[in-house]
Amino acid sequence: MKSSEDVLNSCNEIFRTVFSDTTLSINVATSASDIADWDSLAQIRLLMAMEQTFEIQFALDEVEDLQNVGEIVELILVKVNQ
Amino acid sequence: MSPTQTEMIPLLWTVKDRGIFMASLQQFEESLKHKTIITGCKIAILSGSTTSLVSRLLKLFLMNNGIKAEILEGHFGNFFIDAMNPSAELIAFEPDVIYIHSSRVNLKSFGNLRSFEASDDGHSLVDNEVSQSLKIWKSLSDKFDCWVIHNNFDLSPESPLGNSEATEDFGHNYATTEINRRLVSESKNFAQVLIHDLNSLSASIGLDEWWSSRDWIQYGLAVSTMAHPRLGFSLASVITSVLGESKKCLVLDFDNTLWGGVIGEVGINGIELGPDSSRGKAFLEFQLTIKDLASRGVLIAGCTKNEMKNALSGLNHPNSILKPEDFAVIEASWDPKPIAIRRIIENLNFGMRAFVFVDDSKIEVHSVKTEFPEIETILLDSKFPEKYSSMVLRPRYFESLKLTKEDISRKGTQATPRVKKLKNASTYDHMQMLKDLNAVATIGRPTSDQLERVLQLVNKTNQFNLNGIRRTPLEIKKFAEDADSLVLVGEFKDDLTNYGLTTVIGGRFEGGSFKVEIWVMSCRTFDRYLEHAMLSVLQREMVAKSTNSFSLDFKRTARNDYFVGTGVALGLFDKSITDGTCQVDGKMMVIPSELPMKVVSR
Repeated sequence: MKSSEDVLNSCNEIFRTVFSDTTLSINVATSASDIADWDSLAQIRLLMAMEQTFEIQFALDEVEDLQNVGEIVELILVKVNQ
Repeated sequence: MSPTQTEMIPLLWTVKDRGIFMASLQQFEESLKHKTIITGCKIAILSGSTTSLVSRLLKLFLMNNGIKAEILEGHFGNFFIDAMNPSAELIAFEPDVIYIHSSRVNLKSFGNLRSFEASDDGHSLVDNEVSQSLKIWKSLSDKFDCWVIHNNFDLSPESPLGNSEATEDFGHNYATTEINRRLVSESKNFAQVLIHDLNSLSASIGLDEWWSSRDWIQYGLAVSTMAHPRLGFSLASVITSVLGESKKCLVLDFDNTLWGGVIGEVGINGIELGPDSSRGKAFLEFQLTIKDLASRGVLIAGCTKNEMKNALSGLNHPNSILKPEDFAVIEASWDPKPIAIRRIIENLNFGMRAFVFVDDSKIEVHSVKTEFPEIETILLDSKFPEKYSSMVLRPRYFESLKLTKEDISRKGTQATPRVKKLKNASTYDHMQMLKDLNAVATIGRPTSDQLERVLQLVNKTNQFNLNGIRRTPLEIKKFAEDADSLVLVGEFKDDLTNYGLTTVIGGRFEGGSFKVEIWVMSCRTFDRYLEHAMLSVLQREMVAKSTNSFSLDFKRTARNDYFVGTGVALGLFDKSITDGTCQVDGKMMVIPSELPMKVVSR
């Protein structure tokens, strides 16, 4: 069983890679308004990297209204622990 | 240092690597910030589907080729309207290239099960699709003085009616193929129009990966996110070619590049080239690829550390597909490759950026890359000759817009292989390049574990060989153990490669002199001053034994010209040396005070 902390840590690595910032530190409240480069393209790259890393697939409706990192982590957690 | 085109290629070829590439996009962009810019290019992208991703990748790959792109993207799905009635913004932009990002999602006629070839109104559905493209091209040609790059159409990964989709005149694949054929044919009437071959690109990636329903529905991407890097790369190659920045000359190493083995060592009958072994076949395949490039107008040059007679004998091997006349120039010499390449550049009279250098040796590739950052280099791994062709072709260095008769006949114009002596002193500092590699030579008596390697070197080495005399294991063992004899072995490594034990010098103390009877070195460490290091350690050993002169038991063989050349350069003897014992005048020896390595005696 993965914990939400495990998932958050892995997501943090993905964010650091995608935004090319080794000091970036995200938390559950982080949203697109906190990271300047987090545009729609970055969103595609983030989700793609998460699908590869966690070996999961997001459904169309699941990724439409994601508001912040906390919601992404929660979504991943459900999938990896299924 | 910015990544080279060759270094980025492996990241584009598997889904996993493309995933890493896409995630790390920003890092790649940052790594290219200091890339030398050759030229700029204004590109307008007319949209058949989402263009933001292809736009960003195109910028990245063009920057990697030294081209700074400024891009204007049209509104989503608006390509036809933008082409027929360009906005004031597009006109004011004055693009150098207009790229129409359309694909099968933009085919209008699809959806009904009826013949694409003939319909009720007398026009086939294929005609309708082609005529839309013609309208676009005409309008853009009238309004803009720039290149127009238009995708042809990719096939669908799904075939509702299976095989019939390709074989019946109502089939989607049948129609797409027909449209693509017609587009190429019609484009010949438009000098500015180039077809970008989306169809082959998607096939190369595989349609199941090329297309993602999710990416289309969710993001409007007509090409999957994962396939996008290849799309961006392909377009960048075409635009690079449009701007006249394609490569023109392929400079090839010979040994372990065009055939397996070192011809100076194993001889014409020992090289791997031919249908009798898998490796031999792989080298043949690679030669076929090169021959094909040559026939398409790419100039081929040879750059080999070899005697010219050996280099030519390899090309004249009965199985060799490449012949001396396929080469615009052949540089066969023992000079460092940067010096040889400078001669090739002067000879062919192209700018440095026109050249691609291919070699299986890390140090050769490193030295060329360091001396000429503008020359693209490809490092081959001689364990896998079957990969050579794709290593050379995948970067699409030689993208050509239209092949002219001149291209095809170009190879004949300079087909006189020659070694031209360098007239002007080169600025290339070989010693400094070697110093920067932090080489270490460990020299001492062989351990019992090393005797087998010593035997192998003595009995297999031909080019750097004092006399070509072969020894038995017992002889070598005696040599190593006898109180009156001395054997030194040299191991060599640097930042790039651990070469292992590559050289042996051995002889006997006789009447106050040391007589060298064995002296061999593998060609892997030619040109590294290792022979100097061996002599300096030998001298120390001689001093310890109160011996101050030495002689060489020399014999000229069919293949030891390199040894003779080195001996002359070292001041050991002159060119007229004859077989027999040669007294060495120690005062004449030329050993640099500072060697480009750390010498460790053990």
